[in-house]
Order: sequence, then C-alpha cells, then structure tokens
Amino acid sequence: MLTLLSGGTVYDPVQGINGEVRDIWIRDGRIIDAPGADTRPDETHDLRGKIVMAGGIDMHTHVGGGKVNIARTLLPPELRAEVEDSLRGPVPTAWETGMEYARMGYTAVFEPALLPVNARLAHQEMGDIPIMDKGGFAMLGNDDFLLKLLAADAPQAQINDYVSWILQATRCMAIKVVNPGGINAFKFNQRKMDLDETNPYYGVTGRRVLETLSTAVQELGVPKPLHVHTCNLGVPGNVDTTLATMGATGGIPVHLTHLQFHSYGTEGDMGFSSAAAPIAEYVNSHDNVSVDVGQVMFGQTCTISADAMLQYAAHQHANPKRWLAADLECEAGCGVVPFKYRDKSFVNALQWTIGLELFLGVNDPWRVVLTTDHPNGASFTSYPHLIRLLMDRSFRNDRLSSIHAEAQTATHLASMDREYDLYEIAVITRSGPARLLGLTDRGNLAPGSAADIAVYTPGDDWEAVFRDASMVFKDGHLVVRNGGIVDISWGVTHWMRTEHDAGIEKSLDEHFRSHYAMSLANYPVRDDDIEGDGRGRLVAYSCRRER
Amino acid sequence: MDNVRNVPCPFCGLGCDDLALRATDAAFAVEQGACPRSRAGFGQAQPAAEPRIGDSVVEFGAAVAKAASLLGEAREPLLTGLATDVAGSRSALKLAHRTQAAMDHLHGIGGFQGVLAMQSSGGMTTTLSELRNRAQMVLLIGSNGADVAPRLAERFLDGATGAFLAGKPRDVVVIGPLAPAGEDSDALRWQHIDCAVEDVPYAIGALRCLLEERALDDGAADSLPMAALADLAQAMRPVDYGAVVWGPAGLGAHGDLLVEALQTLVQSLNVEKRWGGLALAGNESATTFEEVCLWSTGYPGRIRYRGDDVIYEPRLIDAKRLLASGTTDCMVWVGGLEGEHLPSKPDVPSIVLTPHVDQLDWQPDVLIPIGVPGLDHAGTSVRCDHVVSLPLRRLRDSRLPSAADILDQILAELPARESSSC
Repeated sequence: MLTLLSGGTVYDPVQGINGEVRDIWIRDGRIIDAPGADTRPDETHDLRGKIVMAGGIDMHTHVGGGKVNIARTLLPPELRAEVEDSLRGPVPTAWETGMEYARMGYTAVFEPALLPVNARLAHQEMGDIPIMDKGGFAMLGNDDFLLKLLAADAPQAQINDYVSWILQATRCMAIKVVNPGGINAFKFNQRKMDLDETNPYYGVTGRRVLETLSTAVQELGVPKPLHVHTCNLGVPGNVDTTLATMGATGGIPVHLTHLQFHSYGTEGDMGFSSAAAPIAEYVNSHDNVSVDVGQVMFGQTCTISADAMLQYAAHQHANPKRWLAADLECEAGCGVVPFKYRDKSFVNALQWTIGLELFLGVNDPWRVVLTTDHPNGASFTSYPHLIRLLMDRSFRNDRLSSIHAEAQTATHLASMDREYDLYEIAVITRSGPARLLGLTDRGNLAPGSAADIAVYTPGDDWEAVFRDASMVFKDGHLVVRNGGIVDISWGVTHWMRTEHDAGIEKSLDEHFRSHYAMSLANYPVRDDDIEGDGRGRLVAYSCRRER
Repeated sequence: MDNVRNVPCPFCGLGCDDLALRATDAAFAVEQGACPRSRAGFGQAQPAAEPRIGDSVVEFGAAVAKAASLLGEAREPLLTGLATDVAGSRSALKLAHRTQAAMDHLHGIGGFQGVLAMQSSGGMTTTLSELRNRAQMVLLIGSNGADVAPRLAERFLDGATGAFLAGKPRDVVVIGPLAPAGEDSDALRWQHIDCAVEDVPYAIGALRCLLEERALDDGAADSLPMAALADLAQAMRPVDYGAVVWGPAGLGAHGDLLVEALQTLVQSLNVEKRWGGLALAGNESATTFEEVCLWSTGYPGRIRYRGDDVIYEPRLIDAKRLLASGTTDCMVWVGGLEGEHLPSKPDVPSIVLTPHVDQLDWQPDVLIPIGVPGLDHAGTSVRCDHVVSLPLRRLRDSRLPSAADILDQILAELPARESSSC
C-alpha cells in the first residue's frame, strides 16, 4: 500500500523543517523517499493548507499500573463530569485514554512510574490502550535490594548489572527514581528526607542514590537520562533541593520531571512563591539537564504518585476527603489523593503561573517537554489549552487576569513576551521527547521512520486546532479524521535491550528468598504476557555504549 | 514432565509461586508448598465431558453457536462467575459490552467490601512482602488467615521470615470467632480475642476508643472482651510497623462499614507510627476481574452496559438478586477458577463455561467444558494485594479451550450490532 500525503505544511524539527510545503510518501507503515515520477500512489490525501507533524509523544503520563486503578476507584463517578476539559474524567479507562490521545494527534504514551514487580499487569493494562505505542520507566531507588547494595558499598558494576536486569525483566524503556531513598525511609517511619539526609535503616543519602543510578544509566548506554522525581515534592522552599538535585549527577545527563512541583520558594506574606526563574536559569546554563513541566490546570483531578511519603503528608488536602497511601513490595509505595485546583486559591493560582514561567523561561525547547504529569497537574486532555497558553500571549494574559489577585502580583508572567511557534510546539510535544527517549524512528517524518503523523487545520484558536486533529495516521493507517476515531489499530511496546552479567541473578535469588513474596523465576515479564493477545508487539531498542 | 518447580498457584489470593509438582496419572501432586486449595486445584483431572446442548452431546462449534443464539435473543443477560484470568476477564467484558449485559463476580459484594470502604474513606494499605518483612504485629479481623489463605502463617506471619524484625517474634492477634490455626513458636506468638461475628465491629470501635483514650459508653462494652482489648491497645502503641488484615468472608452483614472502620483506624495509627491494611481478597480470582474491570470500565465490578456507557450499581447489580427477581433473562457462567463455587440452576436460559462439568448437578441449556488457568493454559492472575500478578503456566497438554477462547468465539458468532464503538 502506497500512500501520498500531498502538499501539507510540514514541521519536523528533527530534519530542521520549519513550515515547508512537502509531500510525504508512506509504504507499509513507513515513511519513504519520494518514488519515481511515474509511481502512482494507491491513496492520496490532499493536505494543502494543513499543518503536518509527527504523532505526539507523551513522555510522562500515568496510564498504567495499580495506582491508576486506585485513582479510578477513589474518584466517585459524580465528580467525573466536573472536569473542565473533558467529560471523560481525569482518570479515563484504557480505551478512553487511547481515543482521547489519538484525537489530539498523539501516537505514543509512556508510563513513567512502573513498579517493577507490577510490570506484567501494567503492560497488560497498557495493552488495552488502543492506537498508542506504549512504554514504561521502571522505578528504582527505594527498593531494598539497591539500598542494601549501596549500604554495603557494592561496586558500580554490580549496580549496573542490577539496573540492566530490571530493564530486561520489566521490558521497560528507562529508569526512574522517585524521592530517592525517601519512600523506603517512610516505611521506617521517617516523615521527610532531603537530598543529603540519610535513610534511617540503610544510612544512604538520596544524593548517593541519584549518583549511582544516573551513572548506571549512562554506563549501560540507556539513551533516556535518569528520570528524577526529586525530594520535597510540593513543599514550599523546595527550590534549593531541586537545584542541588540538578547538580548532583556531576554533569551526567539527568531529567527532572514535573519540575513545576519542585520550583517553590518561601517568599511573600503567604510563605509561598515562584522559584521558576533561578531554576530556568540553571537549566539554561547546564546542557546535561532536561525537564518536563507538570503544568497545573484548574479543576478536579486526582494526584497519583509513588511518593507515599509526600502524598501522605498532603492527604489533608484531599478533595473529596478520601485518599490512599500504600507500601509496595519492598520496592516503593504510592499515594493517591484526589485534588481540585482552584483559580481563586493563591497557592493553586501560583502553581499555574510557575508552570508557565518554566515553559517560557527555559530557552532550549529540546530540553523541556510538555506535560501536565497526567493526572497530577491536570488531565492530558488539557494539552490543547496548554498549547494555546504557550502560543498566544494575549490569551495567556487574559487567563492570568482571572486568577487569584495576589497571585497575579506575585508573578512576572505578564511581562514574559515569549510565544511558542509551531516549530517549538513540535519540539516539546514530539521531537524532543523522542530524542530524549532514544526513539530514532518516531517523533520525526524522515524517510525510514514510522508513519505516525498528525495533521491539523490552522486557525486563530490554537486550542481548537490541537483539540481535534484533522487526520492522524498510526503506522500509516488512518485512525482519526476531524477529531473522530475512524479506525482502531494497536501500537507497539517500546523497550530497551541492555546487557549484564547473569551473575547478578545469584544475589537477586538470595534477596528474593529473604524479602519477596514471589520467586525470582516468576518475576520477569514474559513476551507472551504482552504479545499473547495478538495485538501488542514488543519493539526492542539497543543501547549505545559510549564508555 | 515429571516434576515442575516454582509453579504459580492461582487457587487463592495469596498467589504462592513456590510449588513443586509431580505428574500423576490424572493430574499433579503438590510435593512442596502444598495446601488444601492447591492440592484440590492441581489434582483436578481433565474432564472427559463433551460440550452439551441440553442433554445432547455436541461439537464445540455447535455449543458456541447455540450460546450465541441464546445471548442474541436475551435483552438483559447476566455474566457471572467471572472466576477467570486476565484474558478471560477481557473477553468477558467485550462480550458484556456487545450484549449489553450486567456483570457480577461470584464473590459479588463480598469481594468488594474493601472497594466500598475505599470509595468512602480511602485507606492505607500494605502488601504481602511488606507484611512479611516489617509487620511486628498483625491483627487478623474476622479471619484466622487459614480459613481464606491456608499458607498465610507459614509464608508471611512466621517472624523468622521477616527481614526487618531483628529476630523478634511476630505478634498475631485474631479478633473474631475463629481460633488461631497455628501453634506458638519462637518466632510467632498468637493471641485470640474471641468475639462473635456481629460483635467484631463493636470490638474495633472499642479498640479505637482505647487507643485514642476516649470514653466508652458502659453499656456498649458489656458484651465485649474489654480487658483483652485494653491490653491490645497498650501493646499496639509501641509497634513501629503493624498490619491490619481482614478476610472479606468473615466480616458479617455490614462488612463494608467494618472495613471502613478498619481503614480509618489504620489511617489514625499512621499519625504516630506506620500501619497498613490488607484484605485477604482474591480467592476465585476476584481481584483479577476487579483490576481488568477497573481499567476497562472505570469501575471495579457490578456493572451493566448501556450503549457505550457503563452503569455501576454496587448494591443493585447482584447476580443472586437479579436471578431471584427475574430481572435477567439469560445467565452466562464464566468459570475456570471457581473451585467449589458452582452456580445453582437458574429459572432463565443458561450458558455454563466450567471445568467442573461432572460436579454440576443440573443441566444448563449450553454446557461448555473449559480448561483451568495455570493448569491447562497459560495466563495471568492477580494476587490479593492487587500489586503482583502471577505468570500462570500451561502444565499439561489439554484439549480444553480457555474461557477467553470460547467467549471470543461466542462474540464472533453474534450478529453484527447496529452501532458500536469497538
């Protein structure tokens, strides 16, 4: 099958194409070079006047794993209709997740907090998300095995073997750390833990966990830098910890996630202020740091995090008043707290401005990714609105004038003139996350890449433009037309193949016997667990080993 | 295959995966990690039975066609049993969507008591590994463990299994009518606070008053073992990490309210120390269906499809009630892991998918023998704590299809729906 997308205005930052009229040819799900002049396509779509980009890639969205089901359980049905941006609710089903993402022109979603022992079920849940490609980041850094190794001063090579083994066993794409050492410390009844404080049982600092894991990721050659949700999530004054975290890896690539929740000062009468400026400045002057924002939008949502320590501390803010925190399998924890962000709340309003200040303050779009930390800051369905806030200064300032009055005076957002253009939007929603993840054949429109393509109809209202894609192709297959799903396809699961010394399994076997409630033999995900239903193929990437 | 090791067992919510099996003439003997449930489960011979329509033996295809025709005529079908693996749950949900059916797991509200409490107050929970390694004290409410999960004490309560107990014994306190099912040892100290099922909620209320040093109405305490509860409250105070564990089956008529009381007790204990709640749920794969149903529909079960919408009525969509009141006109039983929980004869047309054809003492309109997940075919089942799933194996050559196979075939035989989104 040969398809021609004819005459669209193409934005492909990977190839440096910025709004040029181009034809795109697709054969068997892949983009190809233009065939000879006498070749006739089987199918032609006239895209004159349309915006053409690669399919969107959400690098950080909670779409799988037990915590999402807990959120579904906790959020009462009557609240689902209250969500501003979508009737589907802040925690949609797997089916709705795929449909809503596809409608906006997204074609891949990554679950950033996959509990390793939960991997099989999380992959099976994500396997029921239609259209999207999927992938997971395995969480380490609060597991008793790693902390035990660190407490015993195990060599880095052994840590690397373990990190590699986890990636293979969980079929994951990257490694994430959440509140390094802190979730584990909470199980020993420690209620806070900063970067240089020690876990009470293992005597290991969060900094040490970060150094070791970021080194492991680099030495294994995993493209995606260590994904870091650092200490003191949501705590006023956490800016110092955040700056320290960005410097803690000594120049090794590091990705700070949902940075908005970590950019708080303590100035002003309310003891809560924006620290976006110094953080953006730090990012601007350190090429090894990339971030995603975790923008807050106003309305009902449900916060979901592995950070049981900080989510427990936040439980009194639960709205409605039901919440759950859990200790999980000697690996991590989770906290699920429903929350309603209100534009008339000083703190919530300032959180909204802080996210936008970060987007506008970080100069290099390749190192900032568009996220709401779905559903923590807001549902992913608010992305079109967020894109308009970034692209349209007068719209942004109109919204700013409606929030809590003191928050308006506490931010310099009104003076920020920057407006993202379509090229930059394509970077922060597609090409940037693809490059960070190491997805060489997604997030771009170069010949050889997968034909994951979004087509939009330009207009004055960018929210409307990005709400309903004009057309979406997934692996060359037309799945969306005018914001409506016209066909269903099933994406692949991306994962990272790494190498390690199998000797690590001996130590792991001992640890499983002494700590786990399952055997080592039954822990790894079987390929059939993901592919067995005939829909979700696995796609392995190989690591580049640089040193 | 004479001997198989590290075998995952789907026959209760504990999800043991350390079994060693030996093939026997008809099935398997459990050589290591045996309990009554695994012996019965792995000891099942393959039924020789063929599919039947009424009393006639038929081919699988004919039985599937008849099932599709009965379902095609039904206006208010009911899918129940639902004692199946992830694949069977997925297929059952698709069939329910297509036939606009109601769904209720065989443990119905009993399995959901934790859910209703969570939807009211939330909770703080723990999992089996955390229980094993950290819990210095365990309260077992309405269960002695063994009645629900036979190997609970051996695998998770024995203090010798705890990595962070520093060699100290574990205190396990059973509150309810059942006596402890084990002996004291150097590593495990049992205590029994004996009270009737109907008094358990009052005992928990009294315990909370004692912990919070609130006055208790004299009359309310009359029938309660107050001295033992006062001692327990004293013993709980210094515990750094404790667990409150309940068996959904042993909680009485208002179990959801009791679980809510337990969850709020756990939440309040966490102000000073660390405690976690854990339901011994998941028998007959209740948690497996619950997880798949949640990610597929947004609800944990007890649902009805109306168009593409899903209606959740945790108290009304009760399989027994629907069958008794005549508000369903076709029953589909989806089994595999239902064990002894076989359906009674309904007054409406019935389609039964079960491995236990010989144990059924009545004749469904369509009876289709299926295999057992983890024995006749591979699959996934979810443990009581919802976090861990087991990679179930195919242990023998089986001629029997899985529940998912048959449900998918029935779906394919149904006439096309006028409008559908999937």
